[in-house]
Amino acid sequence: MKKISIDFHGDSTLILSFGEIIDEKLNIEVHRCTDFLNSKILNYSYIIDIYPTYNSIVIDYDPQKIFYEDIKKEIEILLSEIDISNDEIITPKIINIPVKYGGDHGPDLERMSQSLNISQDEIIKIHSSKNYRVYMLGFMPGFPYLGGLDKKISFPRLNKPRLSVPSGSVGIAGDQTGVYPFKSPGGWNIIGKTKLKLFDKSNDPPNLISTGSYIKFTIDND
Amino acid sequence: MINIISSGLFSSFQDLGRFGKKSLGVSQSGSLDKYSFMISNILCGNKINEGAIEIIGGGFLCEFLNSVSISVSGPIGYYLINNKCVPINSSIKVNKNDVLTIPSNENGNVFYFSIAGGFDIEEIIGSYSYHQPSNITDKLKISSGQNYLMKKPNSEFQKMISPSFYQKYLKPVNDISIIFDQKIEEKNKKIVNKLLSNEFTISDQLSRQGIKLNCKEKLVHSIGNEISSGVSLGTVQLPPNGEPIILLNDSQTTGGYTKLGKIPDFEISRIVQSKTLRKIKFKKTDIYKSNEVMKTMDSEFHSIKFSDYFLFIHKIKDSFISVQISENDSIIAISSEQLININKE
Repeated sequence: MKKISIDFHGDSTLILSFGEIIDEKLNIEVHRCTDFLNSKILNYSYIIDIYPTYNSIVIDYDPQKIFYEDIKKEIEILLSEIDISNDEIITPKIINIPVKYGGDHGPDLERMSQSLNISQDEIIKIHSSKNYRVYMLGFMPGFPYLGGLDKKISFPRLNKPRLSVPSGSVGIAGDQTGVYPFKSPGGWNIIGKTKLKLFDKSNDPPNLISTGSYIKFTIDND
Repeated sequence: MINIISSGLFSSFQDLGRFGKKSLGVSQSGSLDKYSFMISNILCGNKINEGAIEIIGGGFLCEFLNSVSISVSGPIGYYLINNKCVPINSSIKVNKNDVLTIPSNENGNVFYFSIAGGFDIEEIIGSYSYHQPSNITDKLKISSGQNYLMKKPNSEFQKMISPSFYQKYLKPVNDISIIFDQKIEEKNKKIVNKLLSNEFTISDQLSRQGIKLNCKEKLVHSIGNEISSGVSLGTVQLPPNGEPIILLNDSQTTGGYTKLGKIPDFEISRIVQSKTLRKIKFKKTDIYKSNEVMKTMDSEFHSIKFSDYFLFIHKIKDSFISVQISENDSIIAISSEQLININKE
């Protein structure tokens, strides 16, 4: 495994950096390490939170219970125990998200189609033909940062963000695609909408999509 | 039960926060000035993490429908029970039909209002904290006209603290500590020096998500945005426009703007209590020094004396004078809404 650098961010956060790129293999390593650290130290009283991002793991800790140098040492020892390359391949979890594309559900699809000179059906076909990796959740509760959008349908975000994008909206911004768990202001091009509730606070866990899983958008014709 | 007559500018239920959920994109939220929040609970005998009402900016009014002990904490000043002034950072017994007013205050922005025994509210994902940007916690936002029940109302408490902890650790100051990220210090000395030499102004863009700082000379840089990564309470970001942002409790869990460093946790209270237009300068600290300050502050917090007091109210001509005398040391008097500290001597 590559060298992981451990840096402090202020007096109560550690950042474990895996490399300065967005890459599926690297993100898989990030998630395996996160799971490993969670299994070892999540219940320690000084750990507040451990969560993965595209290319790093963030550890929030309580500086009243442990000093930076001690937790850093602890993490270094743990990282030396883990051998990711020997890990068995875990079958990734795939979550199907049924989407009604275009029309009122996807107000930006027609404009994208004209501007890209690709038919709406073709955009839908390309968008729903792939499994997208959930690199991380962030921005709002349950919002997935997805990788792997086909460059043919990448499209710049709106010049002027909408004040309100309905919950369940599926959008494209640059090389990214994603789905809004909640009504929110947003600048993504909206191409469709799902009826699935992505984040329900009364469920445990509340999130339908988890980091490290894959999303498959399917065409909802009902 | 209490009835909210006016919720003021922005009021919500808060506790110490919602932890361990950032992997779901759920922010920590929680009280902006956690020390004042804890003081408010201790003043009326609650456990320190009991849900309290956080009032930003004042203008809060409510009526009590039964008797109970209450406390208000935050920047030094006063609150009113009917028309009697009571010094902030003390608890008092109120009766049926009494009205509590928390006016705005020139010394700070954020107040906490607790009742002895706690409010009867429901936790959402393990916390009483309202999170502004998502709509999962809407029930925890306070609006005018709402009623809230009490869990186990208790009228025993009438306590005060001396203002020394507030004066030393919570009162806004002009110098704000920052711990720079190592990478920034090694590779972008220019930006570090500019941040340390410039004077900044607290802008009016201040919310539970963060505070934008204004400056005469924009800190324009070509570091470029980063791959979106983790941010925390106190992270100092520098967007391309060159005006820094200090992230607060309700910020997103990840962000793509250049991160310069982080304000130590123990200085967040000072920042959130700083008024718009206040001028600040950053001063560099490191994790060793900040650890020492944190330890000292923590031990002084735990030795704050909560003492019983007597409140005397006199009417002189048209104005009231409230005098608060504790069992042992301090005397605080409020005359015509002016606060006077009187030493024992």
